[in-house]
Amino acid sequence: MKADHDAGEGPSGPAPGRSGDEAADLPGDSPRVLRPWRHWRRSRPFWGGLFVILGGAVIILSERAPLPLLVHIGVQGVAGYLLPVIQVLCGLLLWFNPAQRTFYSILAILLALGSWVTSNLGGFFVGMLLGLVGGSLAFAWEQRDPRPEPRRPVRPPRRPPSAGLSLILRDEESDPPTLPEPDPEAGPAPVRPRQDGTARGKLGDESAPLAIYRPTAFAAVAVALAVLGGPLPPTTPKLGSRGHAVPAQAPPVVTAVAKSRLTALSAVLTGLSFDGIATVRTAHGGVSMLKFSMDTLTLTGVALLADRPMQQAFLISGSQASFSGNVVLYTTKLIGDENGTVHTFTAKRPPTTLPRDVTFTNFVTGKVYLTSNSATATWSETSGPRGA
Amino acid sequence: MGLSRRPQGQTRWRRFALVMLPALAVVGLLVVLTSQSVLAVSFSISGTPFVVTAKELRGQGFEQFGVLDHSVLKVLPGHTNQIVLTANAIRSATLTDLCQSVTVGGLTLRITAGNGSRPVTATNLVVDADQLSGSLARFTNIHIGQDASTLTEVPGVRGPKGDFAQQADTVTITNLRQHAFATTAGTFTLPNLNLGFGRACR
Repeated sequence: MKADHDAGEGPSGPAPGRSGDEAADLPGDSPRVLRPWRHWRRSRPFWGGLFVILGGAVIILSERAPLPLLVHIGVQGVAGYLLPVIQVLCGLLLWFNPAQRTFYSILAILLALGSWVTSNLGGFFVGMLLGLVGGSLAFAWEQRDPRPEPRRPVRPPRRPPSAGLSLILRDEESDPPTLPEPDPEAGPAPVRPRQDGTARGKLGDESAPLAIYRPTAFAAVAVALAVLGGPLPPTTPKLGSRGHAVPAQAPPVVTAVAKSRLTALSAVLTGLSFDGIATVRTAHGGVSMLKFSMDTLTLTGVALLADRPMQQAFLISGSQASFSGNVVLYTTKLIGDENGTVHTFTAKRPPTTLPRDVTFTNFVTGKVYLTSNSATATWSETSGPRGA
Repeated sequence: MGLSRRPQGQTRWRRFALVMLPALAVVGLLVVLTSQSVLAVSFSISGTPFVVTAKELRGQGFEQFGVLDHSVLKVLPGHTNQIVLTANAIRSATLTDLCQSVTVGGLTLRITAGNGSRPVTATNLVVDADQLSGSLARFTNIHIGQDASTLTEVPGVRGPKGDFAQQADTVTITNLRQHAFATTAGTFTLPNLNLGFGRACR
């Protein structure tokens, strides 16, 4: 650290880099106004305290986690803040209670070292280094006797100034601070904050804003038609609807209340069967959903969207996604274009006959719960979920 | 010396060295222990978007759900300081060729760690990202559409009741790229740690 050299004497100190054992005398030409400040500064380990405070501040700034997040991270996250906060406190105490500087400076050094483990590698090294330099400077600072003894040698003995301190400092050489804080790992797992400022219901009905998220305008049209009570599928021998509801097994988990939607430019379903209508549990009671089982489900141009806390895309969006092995799809609605014919299935209008294999274009589901033994998602280019 | 009658101080540089040198030795030890993944460190970053890339991420226990995060940036009109992110939680993760870069005030800090034989490991890793992608992602036993408050794959990490979420027993993402706003992890081990200033990750 280049800053070490004049740290004991301040920027206006006479000769940077000279030994601190020599006195840092007042230049006689300093303005009178600065005298109290100079006096204050020189009567305490000013630069040591400053570096300790700056180091703690750098570490805190490197984290900057929002408060609700912090509260829920648990012990681990709290330690990440606690150490630099105490370090800042140490720096302030070095200023305002310089008599105890040995304790504060050693504590500051230990905290700075500990922050490597707890706080972003000690504020990405910078904060830790500032803390170490500051702590060492404060430790090395020594108050001269206000009434200097005339017989005091130029190079004073190693005796520390006060009796109390000498007790502490007596064995300083045999007992240097070496180890950081005990590793505070093994705290409880970080917990997500509950940030419930939800903007709800954007996906609530199949209305206009959604069109932005559609892979194509065709899908939007399909949905719009469906909502308007749409052009009901002229039943083909292959695919039919308006069947009667058959009860189906519900999934063993609680599904989301949030509206969701899985869309794809094309969907290939193999080994398909319709199992009936299941009453699927949510936090707000049961929801009737169609249950489909299939061997594989391959989706191209996927967007997986949900409306809580706000409208957003999930991981497989923008990819080609395929699901295989016990693929089970629960959905409140399934819309797809098969060879130019738009089919719409809902719990009130479930499918009657289904081919084993079917390919839909402009595939859209309502609220969805989908499971499979394995799934892969392939992005054509690394464009993020929004790049659909 | 002694021109002033007021109490004055001085810095005794031998005492400075007496403390500074052992402390620096400990710093060296910490860096070595961390880069040999003996010592696990903890991260918590937020407020400034940063980029995380990795050649491959393998995870045991994966959860994903939406969160509203606070940001220093105004990203969405009408939602000051709030940004929609997906929380990606992994109970136990290994990452090869991890690269993490943060740009603050024009200066880019870059951390790299982990290679094929000695990957980075992290436990209870939670990353709040607005973009997460890769060239290929594989999941086993995936559940899409579960209530975020009933997630079980990462102990203690759950979302708000009623929210949409997905979870999987395992996840593997190659050429991972995340644009993230916050990350926390119980512990990180960072073999071959390299910390410095440089270019942003890819």
